[in-house]
Amino acid sequence: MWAGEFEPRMRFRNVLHRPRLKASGNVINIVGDYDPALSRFLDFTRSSYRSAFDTNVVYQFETMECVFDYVFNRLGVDSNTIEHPVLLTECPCNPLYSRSKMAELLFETYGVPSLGLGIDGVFSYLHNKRLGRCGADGLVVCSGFTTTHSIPIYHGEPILEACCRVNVGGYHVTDYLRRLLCLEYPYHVASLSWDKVESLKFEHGYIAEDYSMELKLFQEGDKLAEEKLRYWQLPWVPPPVEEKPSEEELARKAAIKEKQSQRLRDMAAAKRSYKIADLEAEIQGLEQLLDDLDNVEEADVDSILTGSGYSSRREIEAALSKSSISLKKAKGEFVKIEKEPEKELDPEKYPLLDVPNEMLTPEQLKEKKKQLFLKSTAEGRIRARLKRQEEESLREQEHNLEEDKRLANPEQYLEDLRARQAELAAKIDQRKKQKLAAGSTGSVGRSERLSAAQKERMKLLTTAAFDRGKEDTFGQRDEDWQLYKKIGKDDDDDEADEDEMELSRLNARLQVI
Amino acid sequence: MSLCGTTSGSTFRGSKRSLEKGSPLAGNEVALPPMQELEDAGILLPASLPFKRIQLSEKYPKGQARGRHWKHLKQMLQAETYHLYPADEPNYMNIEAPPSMYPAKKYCDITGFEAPYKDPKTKLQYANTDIFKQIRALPNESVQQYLSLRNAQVVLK
Repeated sequence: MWAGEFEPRMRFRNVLHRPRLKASGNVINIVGDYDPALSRFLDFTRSSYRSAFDTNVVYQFETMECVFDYVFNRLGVDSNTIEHPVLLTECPCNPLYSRSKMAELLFETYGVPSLGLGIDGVFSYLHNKRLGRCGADGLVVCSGFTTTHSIPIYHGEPILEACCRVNVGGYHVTDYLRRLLCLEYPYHVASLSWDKVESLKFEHGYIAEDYSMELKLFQEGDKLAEEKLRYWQLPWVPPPVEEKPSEEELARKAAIKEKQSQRLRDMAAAKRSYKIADLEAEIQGLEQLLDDLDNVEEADVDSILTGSGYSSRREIEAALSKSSISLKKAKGEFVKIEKEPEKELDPEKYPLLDVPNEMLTPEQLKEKKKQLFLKSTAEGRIRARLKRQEEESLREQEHNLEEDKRLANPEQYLEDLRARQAELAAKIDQRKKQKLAAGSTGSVGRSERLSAAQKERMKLLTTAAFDRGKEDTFGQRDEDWQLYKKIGKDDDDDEADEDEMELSRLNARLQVI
Repeated sequence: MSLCGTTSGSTFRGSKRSLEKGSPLAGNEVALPPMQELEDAGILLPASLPFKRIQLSEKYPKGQARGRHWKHLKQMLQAETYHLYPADEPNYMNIEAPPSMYPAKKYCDITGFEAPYKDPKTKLQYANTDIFKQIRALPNESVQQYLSLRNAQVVLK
């Protein structure tokens, strides 16, 4: 700004950008902020912010020179030299090297007639003193981008011996805020850029007069705290709304569906008629066989049996009844569900089992083995059926109990269910989180990486190895390997699966009710 | 940093150039060449400025290592001869405030309220039991990042 003015002519961020021009590929210098609409001409892939400062001391004078160029040009200097004295602010106790370089730059390159350097905080204090806001003695606390100074002023003169500097400034505040936000909302790290956070800080930040009081205010959640809260809506695209199909669409779709179902029904009917025809033919054949058996003499029975592929009359009768049942089903008649006649262990099927081994020939031995196998499988099947029936009855009983409980005390029951659901959900969540924590290993010491189970395992193994004394004789005795039984596998998965199944069942029940 | 100059008459352009936006393209208008637009916007500076004795391009010719030999603050301070001056004379090093005599106030790592409690497992400071539940559910990386806000993270070197 020119002397005698009250407002600065130019305000800009004291940084330099060096993007490339997309058109020519040349590198140009841009000082301060610029209109982002122009960024289509500029290529920022290899540029970066350059600041002339290294924690409040100027050290890069090339950047400084670009900034001066920009300033003088914008202020409208177009004479051959700069004919005005220049007043510049600096940090308290600026190192001599920096000061001399700055003077060199201004005098030799710009030809400034005279130069004055001063501390910005003190200038501001004097200005305020002139306006009457502060007395002749006071303390200036000026907070910069990277540092904060406190300068006592006595009789209008700063006492630099008592001045103090702390290397905390706006940069640290913005950085802290940014890191906190990134930790709090890890999914939005990409949208929490440095510039955005800085603008947030400028807009909504304020200095609390009593820090602990402000904290208590927010902690109690008063109305005052509510007023001070700010909400920030990140850019959000609502999910696309599906348009409800119009009436014609619906009608058309319904017609297509009808046609398809009609087609399917026709196919099913055709299949059924084929099946019925086949079954009838089969039944006829079997009945024919039976008639033959009845009519024929004993001697020819065996030959007919072997010829037809069935080994006894009873089998034929069983096959006949099965096919007639399925025929009836296919015809859609109501069929009494007869219980399958228990396949008794036909003693005549296993004739060789009772004969002791020594009296049989090798072929007969083979036959005997086969029959033994068949018998055991038949027994197994019967046992499995019995067990299934038992389980079903048990489940029925449980179900009845639950129904009774429900009818007796519906609200209590609902509450119980919901409580169980919440518990299970919490357990599953915790287990998942633990797994995640255990799985994603950070760069932390090994002791933190191992979960409790793994630590147990390690302890067991090391004690086992150590128990034997100096020599390692771990595997030489068979009992040693029993150790692994103690260690046990990671059987969390089973529990997790059971829990999840229970949870889903509970959910289903709740929905039903 | 601000600049002031006394108004002892010399020529200068009266009005400042306003920063105009690049002109929008409309219809059949020919697109202005980019340089023109940028200049209109007031960003670009002319290559040689009248008031400079040595222009930038001469001082730092293209292709050479452009002034990478600038001294950083640490080097500047090392080169300074502060020991030759009396000890109570203020200089850049003297002014630095010593670390605080009072113990640090403890604030919650997650919410920022006052933190009377500390978790022995993760060493995070917290303000109440709800936050404690959250802390115990955090993955390890987050824990270390919260600690590093306080400079209390585990450094493995």
